[in-house]
Amino acid sequence: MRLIRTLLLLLPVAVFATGCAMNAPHYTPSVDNVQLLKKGGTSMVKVGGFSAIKSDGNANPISIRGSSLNSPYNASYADYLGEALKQELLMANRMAAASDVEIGGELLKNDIDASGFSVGKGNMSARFTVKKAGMVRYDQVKTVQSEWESSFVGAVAIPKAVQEYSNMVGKLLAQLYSDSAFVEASK
Amino acid sequence: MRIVKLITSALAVLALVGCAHPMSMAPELAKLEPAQGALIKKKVVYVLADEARNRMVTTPGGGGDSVTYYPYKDIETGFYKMLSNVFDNVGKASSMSDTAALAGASYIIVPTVVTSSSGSNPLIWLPTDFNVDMTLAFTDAKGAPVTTKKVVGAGKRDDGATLGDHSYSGRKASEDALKQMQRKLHDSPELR
Repeated sequence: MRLIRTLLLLLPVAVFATGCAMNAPHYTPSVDNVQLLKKGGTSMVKVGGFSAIKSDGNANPISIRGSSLNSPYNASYADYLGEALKQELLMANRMAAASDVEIGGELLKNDIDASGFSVGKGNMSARFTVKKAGMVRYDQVKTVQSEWESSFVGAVAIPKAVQEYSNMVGKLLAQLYSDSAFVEASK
Repeated sequence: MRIVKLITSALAVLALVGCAHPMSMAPELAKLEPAQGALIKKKVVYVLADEARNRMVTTPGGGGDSVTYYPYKDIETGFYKMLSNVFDNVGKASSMSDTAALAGASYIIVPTVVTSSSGSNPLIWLPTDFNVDMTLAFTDAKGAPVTTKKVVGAGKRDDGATLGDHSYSGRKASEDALKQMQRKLHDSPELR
């Protein structure tokens, strides 16, 4: 009876927090983003380095109700963004290592707030640069804020927040690909 | 105080029973290898409405729990890659009246995806079995039927699955369905 009562008392902790470390899922390219890249032309580009500034709003790892969400790409969310861009360029047949047009960037803000019992939120901001033969042709900051339906049950809210992270990255890249100045600079 | 603790704990137990756990049935893209032989030199456009894409489905897991996922959204990128392994030009339209997206298409594809799952372990919510029933209806640019292709992909949790991999059976079922469909399309003379 005492053992059963102890187990029952521990369950609320399981409901609200897990304290686990986990990896964000590998990025899956968005078909809509691939279509945007195809629409932007057929010129080939390559992806250069992505870095991250050190600030409170630039979380690594990301904390989700006491659990740590790590990037599966070298434990770096800057690398996550670079890898997402690479995969979409590859799928759009626009990636070439020998191209003299290079896209690079810097992660400025990156965080998720899944503490809410009904709404989860995400915030991401990055500076993207496009250089042709070493000359800067594009230098802009893109920002995205996401919201999704969440739950007071951690076992539901945490996986949902983890899923929404890659959606947030996709939305940020969609902003970039839709920018006519980026399309022009990438030619 | 004791009664408050017991009530709180009981509520926590109730909150966990019958939960719907989010998962994904997205396939691993690297598993969808190109087909041997030349691509079919035709433009195909698949029609996928936003309503379908954003539709969430709930199917059984184990232990009385269920799982939720977005069949069309999860499988879409793998579906696009599969079509790109067969045809040399693939596009997407949001409806049959999306004339800009449909322009130049040799074939228009309407995909239908129906899923089912179950969990044989009474203690763990992870689905042990997952099925993806995929049907593709091909019409020509004028809307005349060309062919219909159907496959059923199956995924099962096996020794390769880790406890932390919630989406294993769903992912395997999607990969199986897409690989079968790729073979069928590649071997269809009426599409060449």
